[in-house]
Amino acid sequence: MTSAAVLTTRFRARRRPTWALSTQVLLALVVLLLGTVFLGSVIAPYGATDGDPANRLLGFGSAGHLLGTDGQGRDILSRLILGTRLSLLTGIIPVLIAGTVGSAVGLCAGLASRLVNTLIMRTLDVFYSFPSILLAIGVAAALGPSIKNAIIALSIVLIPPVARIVEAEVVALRSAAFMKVAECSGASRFLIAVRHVVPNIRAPLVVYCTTLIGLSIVDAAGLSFLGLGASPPTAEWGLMLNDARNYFFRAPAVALAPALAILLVALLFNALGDRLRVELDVRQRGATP
Amino acid sequence: MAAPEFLLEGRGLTVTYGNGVRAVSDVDLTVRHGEIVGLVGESGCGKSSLANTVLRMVKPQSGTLSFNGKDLLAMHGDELKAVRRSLQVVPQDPSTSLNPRLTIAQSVEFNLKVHGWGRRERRARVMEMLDRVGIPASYSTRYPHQLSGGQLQRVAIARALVTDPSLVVCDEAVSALDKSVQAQILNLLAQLQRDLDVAFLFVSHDLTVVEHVSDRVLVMYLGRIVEEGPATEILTAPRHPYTQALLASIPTRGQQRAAIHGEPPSPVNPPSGCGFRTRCPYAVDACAGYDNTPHAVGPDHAARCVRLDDLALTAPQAWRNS
Repeated sequence: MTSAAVLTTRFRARRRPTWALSTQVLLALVVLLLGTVFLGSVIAPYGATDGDPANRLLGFGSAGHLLGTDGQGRDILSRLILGTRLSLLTGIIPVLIAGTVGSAVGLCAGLASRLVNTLIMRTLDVFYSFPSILLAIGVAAALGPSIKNAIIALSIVLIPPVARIVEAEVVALRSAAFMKVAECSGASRFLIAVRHVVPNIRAPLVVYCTTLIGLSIVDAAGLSFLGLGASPPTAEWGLMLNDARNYFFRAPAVALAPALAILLVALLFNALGDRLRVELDVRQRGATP
Repeated sequence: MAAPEFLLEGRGLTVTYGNGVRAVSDVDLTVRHGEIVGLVGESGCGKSSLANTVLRMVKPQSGTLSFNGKDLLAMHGDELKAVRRSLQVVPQDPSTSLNPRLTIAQSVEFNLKVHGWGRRERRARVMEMLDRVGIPASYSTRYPHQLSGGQLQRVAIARALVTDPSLVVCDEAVSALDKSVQAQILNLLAQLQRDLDVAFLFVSHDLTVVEHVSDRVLVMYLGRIVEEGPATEILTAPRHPYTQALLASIPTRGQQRAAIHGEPPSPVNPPSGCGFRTRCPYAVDACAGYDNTPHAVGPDHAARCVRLDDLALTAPQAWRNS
């Protein structure tokens, strides 16, 4: 083989196959959602706090108010659009933090000796034994009500499940023959982790984290609902749901809009996670559902 | 310093696991430079434990092990890493022996990366090795699931040989392959051994596989080497009843296969004396008191049996008729 040929030799897989249509659609929806975050103030027909007490609790499809108005006569559509920023923030930031910290913890625990593994995992189990929302409420209440503290609380809550998923994957991987070979080759634990473990846990990790975004949005909405996250009159989906509670029997539509928004965004990230599971698997590339 | 006679020299190796299983008892194991040594025995006899001991994956309870004249068991850190470069492994199952997320070239390359090779040298070397084991260059960016079992094992061999080792441990390297592919891989190993002057410790439960490639064969039963000698002698004139039984159990055309009766005893509580006496048709009372000292029966040929002298001429035929 000539040296020129060697130089152009690539050891990475050559082609990255195009993603399936369903994945592209889901990604487009996520982009749309992000667009709403950045262009919210441009798109929204009214301000988040522009109340019109004369037109309170209008239903869906009212003139000038597509999704109606809430108890203080504020346009629900505008508040939904403007609330996207905070709701997505509280959905994504905790998952990013927990994804990073949790996978580092899980990786260390999975590759450590049995004693260290037990210490780490049993400590996590203590946190894991609380229902996630209860723990979030506890942490958020201890830190005081604010968006920042809600994000911190949610990050802490999400670390144990991420760490457990990663640890389980790593432990399952340890019995594979290629791990033994890597050890026999004299590679350091760090190099083995980077080269052999991470590529194998990346896909399940990304998938799991995407599904956590939905959970995090719902939990963040729950914290706001309880008054531990965003505080009125901020536009945030959970908070909107909280407000709507007072008028639920007179005007259920007021609660329906933010509830549906939370549900659909959570579903979107769940579906995206499921698609990514397939797309990131080298063995299933090109498979369409 | 003169090169030591043996590339690998283990003396009195004993491996005991936490659950009381004595997997390897008092085993002497030697491999010369460029030699192919076969290690046979049925599953559970301790051959994998012995292989893992050689690879420094399992710490023996007692015994000494030297590689190229240096004490392998005392090594750690950089010294051990340097030795690992010349001590490689080809594992059994081709389906898990390569990382499913890495292309095969990346898998082979990793071994060089560990030992600090530069990018250009790595690439040239990987392509050279893949070529040597008969994997087309165009396959280098494929993933393991796109290759057949035989091809995967070729890649695993390329990975083991890429660092230019002096000893490769093949732990049941062809057991998962079908017969025709087995033969191809065995021929490849023999070819590579001639070309690269590398020694192999070839572990298998299949005597026919071992006979095909080995210079010398060790037969293991219940943690002990019951017979060792040149491959041709072991095959044509086995002296230990267990070796004879193994040979007789190879299916041949037109002849009834002779199976050994019963199960091997538990390695947690092995029988006193000779481990094989519970299944051996020639067993006598003296077997229970046997101290397992090997008896030389020829140059480089030794067996551990009390009745070697009076059983001298009972050929494998005895097994066929039983």
